[in-house]
Amino acid sequence: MNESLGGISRLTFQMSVAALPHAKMLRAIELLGTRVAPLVRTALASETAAASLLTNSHALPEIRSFGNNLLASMLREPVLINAEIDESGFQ
Amino acid sequence: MNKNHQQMEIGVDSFVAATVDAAGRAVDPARHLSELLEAITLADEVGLDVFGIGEHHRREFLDSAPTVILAAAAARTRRIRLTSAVTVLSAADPVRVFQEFATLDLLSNGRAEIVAGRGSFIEAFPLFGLELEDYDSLFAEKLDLLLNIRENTHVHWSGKHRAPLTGQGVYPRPLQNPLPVWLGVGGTPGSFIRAGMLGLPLMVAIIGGEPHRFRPLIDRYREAGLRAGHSPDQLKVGIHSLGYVADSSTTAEDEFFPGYAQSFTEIGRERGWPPMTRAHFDAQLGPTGALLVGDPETVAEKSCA
Repeated sequence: MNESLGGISRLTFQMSVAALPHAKMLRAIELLGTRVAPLVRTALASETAAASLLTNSHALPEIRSFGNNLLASMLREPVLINAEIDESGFQ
Repeated sequence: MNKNHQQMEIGVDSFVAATVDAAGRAVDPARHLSELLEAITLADEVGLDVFGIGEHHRREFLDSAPTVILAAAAARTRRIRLTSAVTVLSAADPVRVFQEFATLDLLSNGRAEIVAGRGSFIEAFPLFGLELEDYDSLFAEKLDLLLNIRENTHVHWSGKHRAPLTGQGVYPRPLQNPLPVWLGVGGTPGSFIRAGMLGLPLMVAIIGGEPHRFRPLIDRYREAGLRAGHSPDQLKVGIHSLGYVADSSTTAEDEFFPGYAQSFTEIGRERGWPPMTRAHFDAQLGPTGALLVGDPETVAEKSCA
């Protein structure tokens, strides 16, 4: 979502659509807060670090190259599948 | 690139369903609301950034009065931001909306936000005596009034759909100045451009298909905003997506699918969509699909990609 949409500030998960049992909803919220959010924060922080290495003209060539590789590894080629944009928006 | 937005807030948006669960069992509304408050409290405890409540005016939902639910949540939480998702502004009086969210802001010590949208259900129109043919002008006018009230305690305003304001004060004033107002949009290009021109943060609902196909619309939002003289920092983009996390991806997919398929098949019956199939669901689980369903690593990776 973040990279392909040009940087996003907020991402919300609507889980209620699946009418899950309460205990499963609570587990999902716990995993979102304790596992997903820290992974996302770490990934975005290293992406920012890589980007600043790339733009820092004083960085040594080998460090710039490291930053470049790190950044490249985070960019993913989009794979097109046939699906229409859902125009319905918020239900 | 993400240089200006290294931080990504993560949260939950919830529509509060009534009547039956995925297994067809009746749900006690009072118990369901109490469980919802427990979920918001947990979201706060585990450090999530935001919790949103939808607004619907039909039999399948309990959330016609989201600020009441959010106020109850405000009293039980400390840090999490509390928002509508979305406030159906076309069918509401912006004075009342502002009063309610300003009160919520005081109750929550500055954690209230409004996501204003047109909604994608139409029940609110006949319920509040409004004409569906005014769909566009109602929203434009009410958004204008809401932003005017946010800017000015004493409001001078006149429009087509509401009695004019001739300097009356709108109280209470919120703790946050300005009270955050996002524009909630689906796939209508004009809505993206409107948000950009107004310099409002944009909340995009991407509930199917491939998210990257929204990129041109988001670019138009940013272009419209910059052209109107707003700073890049002001032009924030949020995404409302469908998702679910479990300990393993297989578990997450198998638990999420039945209720998801039922919801979409039911809504689809009204809107002329074909029934939701497992194959269509599976297609949206892939790297470029809209569903953020899986184990924590899968969901985090897809969120960043």
